[in-house]
Amino acid sequence: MRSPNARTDVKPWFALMRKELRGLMTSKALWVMLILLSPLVGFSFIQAVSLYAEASRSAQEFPDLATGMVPLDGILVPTFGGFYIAMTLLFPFVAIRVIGMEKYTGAIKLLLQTPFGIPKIIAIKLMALLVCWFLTLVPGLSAVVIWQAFGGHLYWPDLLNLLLGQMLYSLVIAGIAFFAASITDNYGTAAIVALSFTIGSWVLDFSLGHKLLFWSGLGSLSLTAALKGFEQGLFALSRALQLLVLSLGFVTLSAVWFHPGRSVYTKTINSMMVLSLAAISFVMAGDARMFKDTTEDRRHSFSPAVEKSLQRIDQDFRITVHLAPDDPRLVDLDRSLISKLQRLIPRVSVVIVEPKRGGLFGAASDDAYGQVFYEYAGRKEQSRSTNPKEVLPLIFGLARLPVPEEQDWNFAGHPLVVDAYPSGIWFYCVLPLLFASALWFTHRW
Amino acid sequence: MDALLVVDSISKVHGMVTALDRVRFSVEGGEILGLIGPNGAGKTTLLECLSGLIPCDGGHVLWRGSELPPHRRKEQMFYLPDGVKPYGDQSVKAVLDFFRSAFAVPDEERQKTVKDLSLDSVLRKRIDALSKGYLRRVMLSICLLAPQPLLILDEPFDGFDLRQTRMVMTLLRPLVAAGKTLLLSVHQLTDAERICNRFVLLSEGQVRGIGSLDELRKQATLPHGTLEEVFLALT
Repeated sequence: MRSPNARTDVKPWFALMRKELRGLMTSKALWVMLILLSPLVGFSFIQAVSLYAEASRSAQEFPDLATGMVPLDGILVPTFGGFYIAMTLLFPFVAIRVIGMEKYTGAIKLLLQTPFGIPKIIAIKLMALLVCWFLTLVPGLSAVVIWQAFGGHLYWPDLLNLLLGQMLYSLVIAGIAFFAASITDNYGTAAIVALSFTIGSWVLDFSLGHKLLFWSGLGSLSLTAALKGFEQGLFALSRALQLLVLSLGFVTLSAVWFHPGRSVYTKTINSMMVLSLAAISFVMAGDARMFKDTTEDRRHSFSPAVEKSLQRIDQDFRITVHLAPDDPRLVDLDRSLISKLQRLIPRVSVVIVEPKRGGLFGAASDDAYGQVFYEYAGRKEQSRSTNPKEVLPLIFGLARLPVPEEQDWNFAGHPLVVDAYPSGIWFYCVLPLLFASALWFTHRW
Repeated sequence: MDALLVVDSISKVHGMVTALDRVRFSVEGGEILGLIGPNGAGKTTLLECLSGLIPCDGGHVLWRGSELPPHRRKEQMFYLPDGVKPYGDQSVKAVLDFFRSAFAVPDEERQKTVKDLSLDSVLRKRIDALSKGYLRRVMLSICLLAPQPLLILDEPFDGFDLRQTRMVMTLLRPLVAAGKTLLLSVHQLTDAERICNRFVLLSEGQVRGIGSLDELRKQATLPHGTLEEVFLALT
């Protein structure tokens, strides 16, 4: 007698993948999401182009303003902002169904008796969902095509980085939805659990600008904050790996809870192991030091000559900042100098010294307030400036390195005055109709 | 006959209620064993425990004398649950094709099953659009495609009229001749009497009698009793 576990041919895997894809394609949730996504992305795109055109008009009069005209910030991020909202609020419903169509109908009892093991079942489900995720890119990518057709400039590295960020974010949402579906008994409860995670993550965003470092640090763990780096054109391997670990952690937890034949005790023990492993992997991923500035205006980098020189700093480099966490100068210093140094020099430590508050309006009563101290190899310098052009010579002096010759990098910007309103026909009529037709086609019998 | 499967002291507790109380019986190779009991006797719970789809609170399952842990039960047995409507949005053909491919069964076997169960006319219909009778037939066809040597069917005659029940019986009997063993949960005693070789009488989670109809008659001291009378006497 044949044993279902003994077979090694790949054909059953295709069957499982085909079943999952067919399940998704016949899912009303997917098509309804796409129907809603089209006008959402379209509206974001048209508004973004309109604002971009307005700013471009000023840039035509004052060419200096044109350097700020970057399609990544002006067009791509706002357009995919609509996509992000759909992924947060609608995609969980599609993902929940991938697990729910078996769990809530009893079909799981049949599926679990096929030769496929649970890890493989869940992996195939995730792959099928990923295939459908590419379908959800249609409105966003069509906006990109329309932008190019208008004569808009496109810089592929920042677009691909943005798409990678959106994909990783969607994978985390999928993982959360899988987990929610695997621990609940119906679609409604699963949706509540999944949305609690995603909307709960938004709440974390509010603590980002908190005065206390703990709350501020907690805010950096929010999913939106993780996506922000990709939106700003910075690829950080640590962030990408952390999002992947989060996603795989949730997916593995869903595999633990998917099987009805395991006791709650066993599932709890296995979950603890998964959580421990995920936490360790998350922390380790945070140490990955590989960064890539994908922006055309190189906003996350110093000039190549400066970077090459700074990479020769091989001892502990300490920066002590006497600024309150909510002081805009700290944000400025972090963006223009500290973050760049941290990405370049492996042994940089930054200490933020919060000032003592006093006086009638709680103003800082610290004499050193506003000062930034730089220490290297027993030498020390201080400055109040947040401008790299003033601070970098100090750092080179501390490290006894010659100040490299600056090669001016002139980014001219890409202003474009164009009217995107006619593209509304595509986003508000044609695309929704196409998706509605697909919905009808998949439910026609 | 050799004991193919030994069920040894399987217990299951739902909160304060004991659903299965140290259930013991064995299944011989090549027989049709009927699990008989009223609604709420614990039949479905027992079958799901056996097939590893819900956890047991105690007991063992032995396959040809060796322990068969829950995660390996699907290698030897296939359980067809009652009241399941799988993949409602998909067509009958798609669902059958999936299970055929999953079990690596030749397409001819699927076609034969479709013909035997007269499913040709509904192959392109969605599962959700099927009548109860057709749904039962589709479910049965999935079971017939399963390659495992022990087939466990929960209420296989439920939803069928008299003719259809006879037709299902004529489909199940050749399976035994082909080397399969069947464990059927049945609450219609007349149906059970017609198809099963031996019976396990289950009531309130406890086994009240095991054996062929003649052996049960002796236990119940009803030499000419029907299965129904024997069941009532023993439970």
